[in-house]
Amino acid sequence: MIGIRRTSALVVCVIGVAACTAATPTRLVSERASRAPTAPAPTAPAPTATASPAPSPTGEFVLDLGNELTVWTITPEFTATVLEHASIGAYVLLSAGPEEDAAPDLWAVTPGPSSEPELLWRNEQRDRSLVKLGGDLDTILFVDMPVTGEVGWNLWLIPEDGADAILLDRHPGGADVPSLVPSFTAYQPRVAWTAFDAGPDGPVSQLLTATAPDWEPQVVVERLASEAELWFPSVYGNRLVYSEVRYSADRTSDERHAYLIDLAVPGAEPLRLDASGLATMPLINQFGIIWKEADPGFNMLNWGVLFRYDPDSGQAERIGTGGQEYVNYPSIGERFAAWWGEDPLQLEVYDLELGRAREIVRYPASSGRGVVRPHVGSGLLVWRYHDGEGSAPEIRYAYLPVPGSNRLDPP
Amino acid sequence: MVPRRIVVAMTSIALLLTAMVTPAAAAGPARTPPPMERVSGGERPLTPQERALSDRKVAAAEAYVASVRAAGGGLSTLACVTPNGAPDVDTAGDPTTTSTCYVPSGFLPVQARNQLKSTYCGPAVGQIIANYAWAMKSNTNKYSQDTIATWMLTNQYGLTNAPELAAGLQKATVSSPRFPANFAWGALDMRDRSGNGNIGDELQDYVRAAVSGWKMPLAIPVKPHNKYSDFNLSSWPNPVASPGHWITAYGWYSYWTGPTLPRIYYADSSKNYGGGTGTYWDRTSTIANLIAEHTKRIVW
Repeated sequence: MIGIRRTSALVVCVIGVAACTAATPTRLVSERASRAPTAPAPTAPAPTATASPAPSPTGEFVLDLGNELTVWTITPEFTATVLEHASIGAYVLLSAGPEEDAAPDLWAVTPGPSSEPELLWRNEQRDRSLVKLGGDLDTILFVDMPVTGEVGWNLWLIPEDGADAILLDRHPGGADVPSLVPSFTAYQPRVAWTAFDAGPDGPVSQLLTATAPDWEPQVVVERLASEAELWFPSVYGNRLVYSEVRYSADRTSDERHAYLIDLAVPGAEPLRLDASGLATMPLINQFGIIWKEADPGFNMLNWGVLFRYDPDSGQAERIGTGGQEYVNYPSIGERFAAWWGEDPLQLEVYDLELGRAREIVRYPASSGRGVVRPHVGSGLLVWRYHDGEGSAPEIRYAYLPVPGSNRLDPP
Repeated sequence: MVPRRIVVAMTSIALLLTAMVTPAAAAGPARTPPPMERVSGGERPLTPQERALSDRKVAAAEAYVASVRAAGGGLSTLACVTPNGAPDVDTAGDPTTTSTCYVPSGFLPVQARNQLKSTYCGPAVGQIIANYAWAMKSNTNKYSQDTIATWMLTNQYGLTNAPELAAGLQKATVSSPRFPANFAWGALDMRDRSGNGNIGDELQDYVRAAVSGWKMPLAIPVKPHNKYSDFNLSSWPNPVASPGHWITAYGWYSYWTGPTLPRIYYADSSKNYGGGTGTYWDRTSTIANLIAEHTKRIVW
């Protein structure tokens, strides 16, 4: 059985208390390379891998990489109010709130045995929810939008621990400008995002970046929204990948491509990476570039399969996703990629360093248990776990091995 | 040669359609809903006539599924869990049930449409289904969403309820070239008839009967991505406080073998209104949960 560590959560006392709006996590050192968090010390030895996994007394099959992990869980008393979750390596980010229909506040859990969810940002507008979270280490991005159905999102940035939130972008208003929630990425000290804005010839789709310390938005690519849309940026150092969707004249079909651009070269032309016209949700880290392709004819948001780009040959090859035939919403960390799996009975990741899928856990179909919406940031994997018995879902998380290591290093 | 099980299934369909429904005029949903108590999801209870229609359609769907099973079709999914090719989608307009694939499936040729107002997901479904029924070209519409909204009383209520959506679909498709003989649109309250604790198996059977039997899409109301739910439509990546949403189910993949394999294919219309526009698929078990989180009804 995977070791489970439960963190306590004294959250009732801080909800709704104005004094708790300030960010309070321990400040990390300033250089990004040294900010990569280390795994908390597991309190029990990791179980030994077995060639033929047998179900544990609780009926779960721990597989391959799962034998190297210590899994922690955030108490369900808190996660019952959680709307969204994301990993940024240093923290598990959560949006939550006491409101019936809204989750307006940003919370963070510092991985470890004694961690408690901490309120990082209290939303003064209680009829809004944080519908998208992300970032890199202690650089945090999130989107809030009204739950009332009105058009209008805000993209916020917390540059580092203890800093005030900066309103980085917002929907410009106007019914003709698409109200789709921005997609975004971060790799310190840079963030990038896509958004729609008003333009002189009609709404435009933009790819923007901002860099510390001034965080001034810069438009990198812009398209007329009637012709094309820019989506799903992913940044690693100066290299940025993104997806461009170009529509047919009657908008009944589209081509979607993955592009790579070098932000260190002013005016650099984006390099198209795929030949299929189906590439979307590209991701980049030190080991390479992957993207998702849905089957022809389906929307880019649909389930798909993953491809990996070979920079030497310029070709892309499909990569394995363990027991998942189809996946969606892939995310990437320092070494591993994660995804939403079509089959919630299984959890696995792709190891870009070793070039293969790594299974973590599998549940019997009869158990009703499962995993939904896994997300990886830096070296921290987070997911929702449900027990099949109607209990509130748990938020679980685990550190993955760092590059160059096949097991977690002892403290 | 046509496989025997397909011949049996087609014969069964013809017989079942004849026996299933009374003429639309007699069995059609109420045109103007009277003020009645609301049920879960905010909709009125079905009238006795509407319930009678849904009972007949359920019986017909179950008979269709049984006929396929009797012909040996029900074993195919267990024999093979991997398709040997792309699903067989007939873009020429003649819907098919795939018989050569190891995993049985069936699809209808539909084209997604953007809903034109936040409250027009129901009329957008009506437009998609009307375009299919009237065999319209991919870039033309048989009726405007405003016209269909009038038939569905969408502007009157600020949303579209299942009985009124069924009435609107009846007006939008009756006399069309793909309108089945002795067919009538109706709302159905989903129930766990098999007693297995969920409505996934019933939903898959109903979609199979509608798509491959009657060759008509279905209209499905869901909570697309509800706060705190573990389930969401692929077309709705972000959580929303939605009062509910209509999608068009146009295909299925696999008989019901449990929650893992069966899928439902659907068109969504919600770009700019919280979701996306296009064609998608999700697990039948996921869509069944999203129905259960909403009105627990479908229109077929």
